[in-house]
Amino acid sequence: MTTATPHAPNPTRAAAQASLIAAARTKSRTEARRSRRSGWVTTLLVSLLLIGIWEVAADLALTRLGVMASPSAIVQSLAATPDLYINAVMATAWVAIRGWFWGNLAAIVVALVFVQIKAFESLFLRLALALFCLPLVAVNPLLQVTFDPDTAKVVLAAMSVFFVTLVGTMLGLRSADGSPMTMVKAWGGRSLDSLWFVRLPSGIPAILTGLQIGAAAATLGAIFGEFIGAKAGIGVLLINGLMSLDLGRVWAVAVLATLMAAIPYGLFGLLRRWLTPWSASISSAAPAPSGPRRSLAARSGLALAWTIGSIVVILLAWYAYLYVFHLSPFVGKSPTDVWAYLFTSPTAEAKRSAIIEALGVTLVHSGIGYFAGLIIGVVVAVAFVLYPVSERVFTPLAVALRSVPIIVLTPVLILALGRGLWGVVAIAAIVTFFPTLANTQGGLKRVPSDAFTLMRSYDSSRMSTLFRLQLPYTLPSIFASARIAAPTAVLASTLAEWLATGDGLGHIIVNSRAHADYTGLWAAAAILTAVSLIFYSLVSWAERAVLSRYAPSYTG
Amino acid sequence: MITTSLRGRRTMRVITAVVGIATVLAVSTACSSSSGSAATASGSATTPLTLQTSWIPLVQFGGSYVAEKENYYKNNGVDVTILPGGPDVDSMAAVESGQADIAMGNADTVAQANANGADLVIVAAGFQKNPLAILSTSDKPIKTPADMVGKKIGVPTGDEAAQDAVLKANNVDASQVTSVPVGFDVAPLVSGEVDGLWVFYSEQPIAYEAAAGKPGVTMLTADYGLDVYAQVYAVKKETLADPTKKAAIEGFLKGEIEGWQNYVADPTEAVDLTVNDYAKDGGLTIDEQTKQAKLQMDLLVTDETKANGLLTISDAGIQKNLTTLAALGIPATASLFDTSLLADIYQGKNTIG
Repeated sequence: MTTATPHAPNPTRAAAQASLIAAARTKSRTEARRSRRSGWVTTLLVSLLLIGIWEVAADLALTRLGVMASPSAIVQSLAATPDLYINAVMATAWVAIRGWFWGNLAAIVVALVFVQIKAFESLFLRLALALFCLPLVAVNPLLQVTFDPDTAKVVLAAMSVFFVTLVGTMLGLRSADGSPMTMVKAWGGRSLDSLWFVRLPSGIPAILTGLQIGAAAATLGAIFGEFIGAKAGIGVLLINGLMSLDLGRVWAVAVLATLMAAIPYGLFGLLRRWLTPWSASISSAAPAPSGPRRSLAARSGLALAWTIGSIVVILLAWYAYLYVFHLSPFVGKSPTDVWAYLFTSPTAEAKRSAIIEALGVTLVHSGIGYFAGLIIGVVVAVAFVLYPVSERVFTPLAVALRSVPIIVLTPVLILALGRGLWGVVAIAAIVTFFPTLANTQGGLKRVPSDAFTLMRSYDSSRMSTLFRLQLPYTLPSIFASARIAAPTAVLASTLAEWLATGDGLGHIIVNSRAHADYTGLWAAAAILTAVSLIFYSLVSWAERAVLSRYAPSYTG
Repeated sequence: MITTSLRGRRTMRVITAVVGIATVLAVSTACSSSSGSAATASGSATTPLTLQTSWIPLVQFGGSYVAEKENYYKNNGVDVTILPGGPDVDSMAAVESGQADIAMGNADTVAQANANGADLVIVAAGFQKNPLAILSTSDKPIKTPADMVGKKIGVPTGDEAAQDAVLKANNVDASQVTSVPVGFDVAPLVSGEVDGLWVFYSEQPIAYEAAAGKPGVTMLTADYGLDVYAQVYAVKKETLADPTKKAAIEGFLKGEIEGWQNYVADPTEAVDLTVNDYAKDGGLTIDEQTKQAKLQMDLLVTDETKANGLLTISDAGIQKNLTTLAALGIPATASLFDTSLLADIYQGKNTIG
């Protein structure tokens, strides 16, 4: 941030100004305290109002229609069988915690390696991304035959958190200040020193954001893991609740899933503030340009080489998985099997055209869902920062939307929006918007305070501060979310296709699984993953193009 | 420099916290996994077997629970571990990949797996009738496939072929029936979004009656051409080639039959075991599981089982299965079934034990 040098002021005027500023500061502090108190009151009132509306809507229609329980019915269900719910939460939480822990640990370690050794990132990031892009509906049956039931659930929960934390951590480590980095270098520090003294401290807020978001993802992963066979857990209660249409039970599970995500979410938010009070005061000066600039041809040639390298790594990992776990050939299909299925077998042409047609449908669904989720995420984050009251009122709702299993929400959404495009878009947007919201919010909060002082000194309006300062500063975070949102939107639309529309690749995957056509399942999953990777690369490309112009503090 | 060392200290705090949590988790994980594996060392003369059920614990598997609790398995020389299933469990894949020895599922699922490279064989048939049914409201009842014309039907993904087969077998024009994907809850029918819903005969109709306040209309697809055995017991063909393993599977089937005989005589124990033991964390009720247990009798007990014993596979039954499989477009021959174990167990009688 380059600041204009202030004029040397007249001493007496300066003193008068100082006392004025002091008075204004006290006033604004009292006001802030008062508005915080009235903010909590508003939060309480609005929350009560929302619960009231929910109660009335459920009693009038939604319960009769078989889609939603009222708050009072949920409380009744919880109070009637507390032991049942406690056991279920313990069983699911134990899986979620272990998955969350291992997934995040792996993500942070991998992020540290990637940031220190750029070649590893270039080779292996796409593999990590491919794992993230694998559709859950395809992964579940494979995990079931790869691991024992408990491990399979933990692995699923770990996979649900891994990639988001990886990207967040890398962003955090890279957001390291230019000047302290230069300082470490100038004093002869090695790259490990800059990692320890600069990168890690400045990366911690982003790492904690990853841990925060991961709580919801791990809980959902653990619940979904129970779909591959379990005797206890809230996923089991959910299945039984749905089978017997016990709405009190189904929505009690939804509330518990939300709490299991919201409590760690809040705790890690507090932890972040406690551990990293500096996060909002860092001045982000432009770092020294890294490395010599190569010609366009050299750069694109290098990018191509890394891409080919990554594809080889992914294919090798695929073979390695089949080999290491001795996967039965009935379930485990190799890249050659998939190739034959799509190109050389006698039925290849029919299969291929079915998959291509489905792919077209999925692309429409995920494209629209993507932009909807992204825009909603950014707009809500901005609204939260502009109107802090809305943050307190709607954060629980946002966490709830992310943590309630989509299978519970789908009947409500279908009833409200139908099974057409709007229903799919709603499902995709719900799955996509939350990481965007959290990342954007985090980014907005990391805007350096001296930049705000500058904007204030220019008497900048709130909107002007937003568009000239806050949003440009948040662009790296927004783009990090936009990258993650790309594969997420594809995954979300396959969920919607499975549960609501019955077309697209989501349908092909579930249908192949139902008919033991594992080659079809691998083929559809591979194509879906490839599409997600391309989608992700396009967003990365746009990110580089935009950030090189608008965000000077961004290190590439 | 002060800020840097402060940061360093904060960083240390973070790292200490992370390492602390890591140690606690790692230790507790290690403890829990070691305590889990210690229990399976007992039992010398019995052969361990694993049964992969197709769904989370319900009275649907009540006979197996009785067999385990009453030592019917043990008395026949096998120690059976019953694995819970779930919506995403493929029992056939579990057996084919060696995770389980015996899979429960529908005959068409087994044939489908074989068509895709598995080598499984059906040794007994729990449900003589396919429980797939179409549930509708009493206002707009679907009593025969012809009633489906002009209606909107909720079909779980994977069952579309089944719906096509039912329509085709009954000369109903498939283009006149709208189908939409559904999960396993009856909400779409309760809300009126669909007119008919593919359900499990002994399960969702109970939920529908409770939610709608009046019973729905259930049409068993088995009565309209979708006649396959369900909840069959499938094993790898190579298992039967090994005499020791074959004897163990026969022992398992004896125990299983005794368990289901007990169930058919009086399902009270099976219901009690389900609700209070095997599915004690599933939040089931005695009342609703008793209803399910009774409806299930229609699937378990037929004239053929009265003549030949529970879990029977008859020649006529095999023919019906093959006809249905052909209608579903799944290649299969009579070698899908192996009745030799049942013949050996019953010795021409219709009960054992």
